[in-house]
Amino acid sequence: MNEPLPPELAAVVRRLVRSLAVVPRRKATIEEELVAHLAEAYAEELERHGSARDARQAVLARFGDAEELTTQLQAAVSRPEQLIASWLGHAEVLMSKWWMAIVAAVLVVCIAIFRDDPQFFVGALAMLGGVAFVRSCQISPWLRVNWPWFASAWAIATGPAVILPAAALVRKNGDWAQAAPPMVLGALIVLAGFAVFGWALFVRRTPSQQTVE
Amino acid sequence: MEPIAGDKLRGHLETLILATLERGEAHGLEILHRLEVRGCGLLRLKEGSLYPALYRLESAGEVAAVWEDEQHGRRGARRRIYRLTAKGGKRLKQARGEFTQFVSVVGGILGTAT
Repeated sequence: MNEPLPPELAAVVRRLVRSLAVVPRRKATIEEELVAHLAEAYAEELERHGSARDARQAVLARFGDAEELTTQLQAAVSRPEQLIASWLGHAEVLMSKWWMAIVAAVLVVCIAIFRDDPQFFVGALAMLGGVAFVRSCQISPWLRVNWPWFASAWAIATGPAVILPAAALVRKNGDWAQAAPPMVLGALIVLAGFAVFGWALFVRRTPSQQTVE
Repeated sequence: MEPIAGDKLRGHLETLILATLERGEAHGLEILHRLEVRGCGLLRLKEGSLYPALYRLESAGEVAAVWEDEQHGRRGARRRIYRLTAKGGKRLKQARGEFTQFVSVVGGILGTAT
């Protein structure tokens, strides 16, 4: 039976993993694997030394310099993944819960003021739903991992809903000038959906594929 | 005999890992134990540096990893079990050939101490 990992050793892994620019799944994989390694090494050293303090020091000496390991781990990750991870990191900072609360409050006020304008009402309601979805992803660990599937499905379904009425307008009146902006917007939404779907597949293929329980 | 430090293993660590996995699947610490035994206790490798090498091998498709099924009497975090893939086996064979040639050429030049 393994000894529980002392908090000092767990903190070393946490600090090390936190500074890595990798996708969340890989981060979770590295953290769990290193924690398992240190726990086992600690059990070995505890048996050898008998003292928890000596065992901790021996494990740290065996493990090596954490900063150097961070650099090595970062170098082992592909460049595209590093770029995605750094982008996601910024997104997380920008979309703090307070920013989301402010955006949601503004949207609620707008919905109340312009409730008679159906287009604006539906648009604001959709944006409010989007904010609620992002916040749910931050709160729920399951959604945090699986949000790309929902977001891509929504985008791929919503894009045609924007494109098709515009296409009908072109067919009826031949009015390309009026139809072009919604058609471009719809196409962009669909493309974004496929991009998110592709990204979700890419993340799924990272080593942490089996981490979700 | 002098111990061999990690920096002297640079460029060879991945091949050494593949060679240890040729004997059967293993988790990180088990790989290190195998290296220690087969290196007669003379390999001085910082344990943490094993994992970047494993992740590189995994990205290259030369090893594959799965989480262990159960805790097997262990508590807490799970270990990942690595195994050699066919691609890894090919690389190991190639690396063995190159290293044998290297030892033969360099050893021939250095000769034996008199």
